[in-house]
Amino acid sequence: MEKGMEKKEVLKMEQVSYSYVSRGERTEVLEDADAVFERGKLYAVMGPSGSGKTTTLMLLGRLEEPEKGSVLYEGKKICGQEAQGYRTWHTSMVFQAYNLFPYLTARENVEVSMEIVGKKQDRRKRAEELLTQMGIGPELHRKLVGKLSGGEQQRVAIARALAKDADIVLADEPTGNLDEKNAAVIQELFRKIAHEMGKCVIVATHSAEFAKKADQVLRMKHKRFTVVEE
Amino acid sequence: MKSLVRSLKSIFYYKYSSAVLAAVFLIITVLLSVAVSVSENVERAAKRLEENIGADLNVRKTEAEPFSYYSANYFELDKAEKLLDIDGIDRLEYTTMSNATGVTVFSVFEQMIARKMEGYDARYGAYGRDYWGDYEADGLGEARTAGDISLIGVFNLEDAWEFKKWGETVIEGTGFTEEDMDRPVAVVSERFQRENQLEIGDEFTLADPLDESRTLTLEMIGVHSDNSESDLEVFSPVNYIYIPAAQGLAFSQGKIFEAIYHTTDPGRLDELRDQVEEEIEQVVGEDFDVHKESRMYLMAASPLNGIKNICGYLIFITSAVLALMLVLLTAHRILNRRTELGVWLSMGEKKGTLTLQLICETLLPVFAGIGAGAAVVLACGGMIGERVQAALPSFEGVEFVVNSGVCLWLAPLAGGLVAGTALVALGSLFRKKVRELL
Repeated sequence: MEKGMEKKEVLKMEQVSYSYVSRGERTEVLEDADAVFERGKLYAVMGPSGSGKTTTLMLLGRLEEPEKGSVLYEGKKICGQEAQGYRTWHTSMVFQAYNLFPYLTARENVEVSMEIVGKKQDRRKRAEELLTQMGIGPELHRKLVGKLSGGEQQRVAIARALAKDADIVLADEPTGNLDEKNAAVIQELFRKIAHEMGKCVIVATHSAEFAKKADQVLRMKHKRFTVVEE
Repeated sequence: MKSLVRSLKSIFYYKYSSAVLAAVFLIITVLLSVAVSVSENVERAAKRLEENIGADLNVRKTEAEPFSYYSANYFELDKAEKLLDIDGIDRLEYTTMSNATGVTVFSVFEQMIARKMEGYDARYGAYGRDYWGDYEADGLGEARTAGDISLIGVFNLEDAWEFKKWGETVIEGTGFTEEDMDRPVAVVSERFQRENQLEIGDEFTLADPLDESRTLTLEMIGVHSDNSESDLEVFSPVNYIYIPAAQGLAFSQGKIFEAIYHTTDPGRLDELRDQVEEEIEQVVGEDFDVHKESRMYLMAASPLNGIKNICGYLIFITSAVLALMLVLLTAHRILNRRTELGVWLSMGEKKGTLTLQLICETLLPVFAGIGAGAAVVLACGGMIGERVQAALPSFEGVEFVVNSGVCLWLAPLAGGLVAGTALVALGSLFRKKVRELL
């Protein structure tokens, strides 16, 4: 493997198996699944509902623990106690329902992300920059997020995800609640985040349009990932 | 600090529920303050009543009979006074009882005999002593027995055991006032007055049956009812003549029939009774019966105790409702924020920071409510006091003090409950996987 390639690879799933029990029935979601994710790329994880897209994101974000196999960050296995640090410093999540904090303004929602990682200097300036980059005008920065439209809220959520400068951005159906126009804007933002900011962006989506924008599409098939397109 | 700032923003955002929470605690604080204040003031009023009315221990020789002639039933006042050293005994009153023979009056019994046994030579009296001839010689009548008038010396007519026993009342003239205590005055029975044709202000003379030279002239200032079952008994209450205790003591030559020890601490009455019984028997060297007399205090204190009990229930119920409400509200507010907590945790926020934030979010409105409640109580305390005082005559003489210090225990109690509930609720959430919260 080339040296440059080694540096680009940020996240890896090795022989990961995962199942859950619902109403007394065990459902296998992943079985010996492998996947590799690199910085600077936009990945789309696709598959029918219940196929394990969200579970994959949860495993990658270490919000879930694999039953078997490992999730490796920069070649190192993330052990139980390291999960909190990994979540804090290396991953950011964007949700379908935005999950912003309603009692904070758009800017404050972005600032808290930096607050968590202990960034003290220029938080406000950086938050405003990110919001502007995401297409949120200054007039909206001081508004409570409940007063923003769905598209605007999702852009604030993306700005929040970027604020702590994590290498990995995980997004679960980020355009699921948006109209086509707003969805296209968000898709474009994610592409830029991967390509221009050098982040590893992994998006779980149903959207074929989104898949078209992705550098790589991982389709869930038989509890494993199949690379569809690069 | 960031927890506090976030919680303040959240409180402001959820302003209606925060305001309701604060308002509820304002009302609870006012209610509790009023209940605690009333309860405390009732206690003070009861204490004052206790001191004012107190309770008595009535001490008589074991074999003492109210109608007895026997001097064995009497004991010296100076011996009884030795018990005033007992801690808790505040003063001594006493009752004297002496037998007397009418000099210028007849006993009712004598009149009955004289009328019903006409022609009977009653020269030899029922008690084996003949004073007859002397009285006859004095022209004071024919049917006359010796010592069948009972002269009872009392401090307070209405409290006298014999007076109370028959449910007597003063029906003409007056009882004894403070000024009368040093004067030779008397309150006689209606029948006695009628048989002797006495008017208020009339004077009559009695003599010691054992030493006729010892006489006592009394002014009749009152007439009491005659509720006794029979006036034919020799020592029927119709022949009781009540006189001030000091007059009675002089006539009985320093001997008393009953010692009445007064205490301002009725709560210790049982303990004092045992002590008094032991000491009086030691001092006099004979057996004594000691009876508690605290009915007056109990009757007077009864409404106050009722109020105190109601306040106690009110405090208990309000506190229980408060505790339950706080636990439910805190748990509800936290469990409702489950997804938000998941988001915070997925972002890497510390559990401690989140716990503090959520506790502050509930506690700050609660503390604001308690503070406002205390302010209301302070501002309206005077008015509340006046209302309660007007409604309860037992408070007369007791300055109603409103307790605004309820918040001093209410705030830590609320704080503890909120923190405890928050820790339990958050603990249950934090045990879950972050994904389950999202």
